[in-house]
Amino acid sequence: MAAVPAEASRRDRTIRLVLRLIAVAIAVAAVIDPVITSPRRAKPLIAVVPVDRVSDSALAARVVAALADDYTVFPARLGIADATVLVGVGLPASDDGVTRPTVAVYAEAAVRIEHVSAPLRSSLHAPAQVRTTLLRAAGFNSPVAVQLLANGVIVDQQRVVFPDGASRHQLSLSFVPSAPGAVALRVRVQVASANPGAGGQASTTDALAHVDHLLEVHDQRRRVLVFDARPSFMSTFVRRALERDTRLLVESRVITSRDVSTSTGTPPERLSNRAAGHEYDVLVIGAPQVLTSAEVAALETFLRERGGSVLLLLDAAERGAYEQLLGVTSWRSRRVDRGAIVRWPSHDQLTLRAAEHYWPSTLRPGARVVALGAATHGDSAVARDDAAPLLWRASVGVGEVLVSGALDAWRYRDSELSGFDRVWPQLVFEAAGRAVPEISITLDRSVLAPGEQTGITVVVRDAALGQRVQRGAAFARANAPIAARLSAAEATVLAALEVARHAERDSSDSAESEPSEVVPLRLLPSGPAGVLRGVVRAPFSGSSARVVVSVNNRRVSVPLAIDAGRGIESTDNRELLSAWTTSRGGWAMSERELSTLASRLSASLEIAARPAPWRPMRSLWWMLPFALALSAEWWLRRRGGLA
Amino acid sequence: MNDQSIAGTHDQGDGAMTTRSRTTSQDVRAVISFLQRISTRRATLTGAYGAAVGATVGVLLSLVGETAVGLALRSLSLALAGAAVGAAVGYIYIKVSATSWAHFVEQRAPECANVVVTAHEIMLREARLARGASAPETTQVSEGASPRSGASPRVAALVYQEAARVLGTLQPAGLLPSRAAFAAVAVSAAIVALVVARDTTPVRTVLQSARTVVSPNVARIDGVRIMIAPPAYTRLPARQLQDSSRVDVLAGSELTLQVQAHADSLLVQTVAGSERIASSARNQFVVRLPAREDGFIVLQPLMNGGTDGARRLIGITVVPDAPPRVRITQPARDTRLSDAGATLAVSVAADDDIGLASLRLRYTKVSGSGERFSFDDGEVPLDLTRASPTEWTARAQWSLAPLALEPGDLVVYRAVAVDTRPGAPAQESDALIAEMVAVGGDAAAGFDIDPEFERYAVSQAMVVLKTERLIAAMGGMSRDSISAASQELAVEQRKVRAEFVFMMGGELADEHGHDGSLDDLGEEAEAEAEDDILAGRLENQGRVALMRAVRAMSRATSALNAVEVASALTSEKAALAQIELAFSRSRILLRALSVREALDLSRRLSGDLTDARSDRRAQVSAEPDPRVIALQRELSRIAGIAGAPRMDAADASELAAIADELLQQSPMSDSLQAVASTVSNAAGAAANGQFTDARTSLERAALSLAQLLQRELPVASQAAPRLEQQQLDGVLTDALRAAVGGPRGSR
Repeated sequence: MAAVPAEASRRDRTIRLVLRLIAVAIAVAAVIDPVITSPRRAKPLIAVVPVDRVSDSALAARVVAALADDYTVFPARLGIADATVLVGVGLPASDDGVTRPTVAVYAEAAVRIEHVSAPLRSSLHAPAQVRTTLLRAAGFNSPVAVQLLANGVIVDQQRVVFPDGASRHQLSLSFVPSAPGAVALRVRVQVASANPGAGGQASTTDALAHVDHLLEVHDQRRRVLVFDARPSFMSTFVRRALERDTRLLVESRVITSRDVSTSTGTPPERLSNRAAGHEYDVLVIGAPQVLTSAEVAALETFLRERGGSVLLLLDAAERGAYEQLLGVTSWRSRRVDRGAIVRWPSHDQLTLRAAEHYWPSTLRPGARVVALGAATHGDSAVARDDAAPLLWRASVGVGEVLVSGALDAWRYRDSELSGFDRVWPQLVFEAAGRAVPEISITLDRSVLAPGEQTGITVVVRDAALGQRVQRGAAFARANAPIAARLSAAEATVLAALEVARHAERDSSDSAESEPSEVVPLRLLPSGPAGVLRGVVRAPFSGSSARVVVSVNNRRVSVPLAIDAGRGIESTDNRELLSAWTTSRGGWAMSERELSTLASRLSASLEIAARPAPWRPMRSLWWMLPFALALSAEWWLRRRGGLA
Repeated sequence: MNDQSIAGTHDQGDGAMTTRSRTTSQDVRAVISFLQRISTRRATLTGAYGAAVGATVGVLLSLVGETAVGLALRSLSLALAGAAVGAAVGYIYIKVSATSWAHFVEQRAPECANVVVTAHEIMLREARLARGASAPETTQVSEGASPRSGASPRVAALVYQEAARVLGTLQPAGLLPSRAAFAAVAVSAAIVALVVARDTTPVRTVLQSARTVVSPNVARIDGVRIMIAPPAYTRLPARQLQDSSRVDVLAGSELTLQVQAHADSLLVQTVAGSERIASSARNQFVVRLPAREDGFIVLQPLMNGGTDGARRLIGITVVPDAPPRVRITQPARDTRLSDAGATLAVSVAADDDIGLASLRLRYTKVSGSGERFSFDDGEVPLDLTRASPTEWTARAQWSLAPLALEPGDLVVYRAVAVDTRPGAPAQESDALIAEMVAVGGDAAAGFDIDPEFERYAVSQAMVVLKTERLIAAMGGMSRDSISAASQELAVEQRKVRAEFVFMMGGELADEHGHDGSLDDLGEEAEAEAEDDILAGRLENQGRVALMRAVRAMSRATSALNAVEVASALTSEKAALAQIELAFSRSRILLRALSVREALDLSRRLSGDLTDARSDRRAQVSAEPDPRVIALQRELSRIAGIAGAPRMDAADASELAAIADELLQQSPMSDSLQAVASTVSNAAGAAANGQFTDARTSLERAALSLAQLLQRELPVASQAAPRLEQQQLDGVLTDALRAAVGGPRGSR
């Protein structure tokens, strides 16, 4: 009988020993923390990047939640990520740190603003056009009210009913400036009620989308030189029409004979000098038929190196050296009794009348028709087969040449018959708007939330266009080494952000007020010569600021608005986004398809097995056997009366 | 089949009835009578409902439209008409509807226990059988049952008797109570009464008294009655408007404003200025003013020692009495005659917006050559047809034989109409020409009609003649008429002068005034030539004579513009003498011809180049339109207040000032009046603390003003393209040109 207890006691001792050894082994292994390297499939690393830090953050959080189970998610750009998910409908300011494949996830809305095109600066004496493209979701059929607000006040609005089958609608809103200074414009889209309210205002409900834009209204005039190679009725009357326009500052020279001329202002004596007229935005050339080859060459220099616009006012069906500029070899002409109406396909309000027509037999490649005239004095010139391009334009370098073949339009100046007085100033003003400024500053976004960043692009014209350009060589120049591009700039560029001291009710003097804070900005050469880019961060204090750029002591500035309440902004260019992501091996998808994102990513990611370190003792599960072993060992000792 | 026909069926058998059957017939009559009473009551009550609804709709419709005096009568009329229509519709609807009144009674009175329905069905069947119109019986008839009704006469009599008894205990008023209908009528009547009475003096008085008690020291306008008296010659009736913010009146009307205001005085502001007027009676102010031009009236009640009241703005649009329109509808073109004794069929049509006073056909015979023309005037009798006071036509068979026309002579004729407005100038139709063709061709090429430009043939001699006629007629003309006639002559003189200046190479001035540029000639060239004349450098005496003639014409034009007709005649005759010196042979009948476009450019800039020197002129800098600048300033102020985070009562005064300044900019502009009115409303709302309403009005005003300015400014400009796009365009164009092998540029 005594052998049995002894045998049991030995067995318990053995078991207790084994349990203690197990616990000690676990503890020792944990202290050692061994590393085992083996080929393994690791969890993919996905970078989730909101395009707009303010407006896209909520959707970004939902995307992170959808991916968190299957992927390692990093909520910012990461150059080593296996894929990048962009959140929002816009393109990122740059692709730095955006890895491939790139997937875009955008929020779905009933109506979105696909694109807004508005000038950054506008004359006080003319309305500014805000062109807006709307995109509606499938199944949304309600009319919408599109409103343009200036500093919070509705200044224009339109009611839009999408035609059946059309998902896009383009419209133009007009902003009428009332005072110089920065104006915060907002294009707002709302669902309109069936019946417009009193005063023609559309009754509206909640906003579907909006886009902010900062416009600077100025009272500066565009400089125009009217140069008549010989006295010309056409040019004379055009000049007088230009001189009556408050948006233009006109200087002129009429060559009446050798060494004899009549001038206003301080125009150049001759055009043959290469740098002649570079201080003007537009050159209006009267009687270009008598220009010499040297003068035509100077005009080409003006177009290519100054980036200005040239308007050739032909007044006789004569050929000359000016054809070298146009690339036209043969012309047609005709005479229409009592003058035919010349219409602008793009401007219903603008018409001319001319009886003598002169136009190229074949428009040069790249030329675009501005206005058409018919063979009779009927009103429907635009729709007629015999319509002739009496006003057309073509690019010459970055400049633009406009040609008028309405030879005797000056005869029809009666406002009842012709829009002579309106057409030419408008044409010249728009041409001046296309002239490249000496220094241009472009902000990717001009209304920011405090702390928000945006890109800034500065173009120094003389550096960008100043090299002697050979035709077709512009791309090669753009790809030249950075050192060459830097040396080509030959300019000292300083940039700073000047924050206004306090908000002004009337922003007209904001440009002149003393700033409370000046933050230096860093600009780096980017892309072609003369182009510099940088980043501006909106300050947390203040309500407005100006980005100031000085090039060789010439100072130019643009306003920047800081709006703490900046809401959801929904400029939508979905097709471009889709194309861009596809080019990067990804795709664009709606928020409605978010549930499929993880599986689609899994299918598109090729995660190969690769050697990876494994530290087995870092699992918390080891605590369980460790505790069990110690507990069992203690229980056996207690049962044997040892504890 | 209705209940009346059922009763008739039972009456037909009365002759053979026993006492019981007579009793049955009485029961049947009782049942039918009760059902008819129910039907009539239901129709009556529905008619009452209809009347209530119709009256309410009618009186509400009366509120739509212009707030004219006489609202009470109009509202009452519309309410009564609506009530009549509604009652008729309700009554007829019930009467023509196929309602079973027996079932209706059973539903309303369950104690009938279907006996009424049963009685009614038996009656229907008996009536159908009695008329032989019933379908063949398909149901089994029990033994002893009546072959006609399916029920034995005894049972039918019992049913009739029971139905009559039950119905005898019921009252139609109990089944169809009238309380709801009376309530509807009462509510409708109350609404009608409120609307009708809101314009009546007692109600207004009560409301005004209440306001006075609540705010005794705040001035206010309670009502403005505008009485418009059109000019007497129009024979149009006077009309009245109540509390209207806009008045459209015929020019010459007299406006009388009766302003009911709780105020010590009333500030009246018009285009002409401001005036403070006292009350003519208790709280009554009367303002009288003639309506001669577009404008506005601003009324502001003032309180001594209290608070001045909100302004009330009334826009005035004056519609001028349009001149009559007259045209020659036959022959409607110039005529060339080969026979001096021809007869010309002439038809004339004239119309006017108010009324025509006279219509005549006048002619001038022109004969002679050179500048030695003779002009004979005359009038052709017309056969008038007055279709209405505003539309007249006339015909004439005009024999030219008495004029004794010779080859080369011509007759210029035109119709002349005058409307009923006193002192109104006569309006002439286009002048047509009847010309005797001269042997060998067109003798009067200068009178060829250019269809695009005006048709008047004017010569210096004609200007002289017209001036002489004006001088002769001045004694019987008003000062305004003389001035108008003199101005017309100035225009004609200017045209003649223009032709001469143009002939001499005078430069066209590029002045774009209201009357176009083609007739405006540069003074510079003429002045320079005058220097040459004085220096004796011009040896061509013909040119000198013409230059002097032009100068004389200029003096004549100036004199005619200044209504110095006698002085003008002297200058005109001097010009004519100079013309005769220059052209002794050809006759100078001048008119505006399109051939002026055929300029000989070689005549421009002529001279000796060795004497030429460069010239520098002052640079022109266009000044913006002051009106546009002012409107932009007001828009900026409105937007500043509307867009501000807070609005307070102090903004009200600024808004009132903005409204005034807007009106000052262009009182005759309807759209600007509307904007000013909206801003004025916003000022009133802000003054009363209703800032939300004020902001809404301001946004509406800002939008309207922006749209107004948009029409004044040039076409909107678009965003400039990006440099990258321009570079791409340029490179692409160069590449395309190189590909097609076009001519190279200069480099």
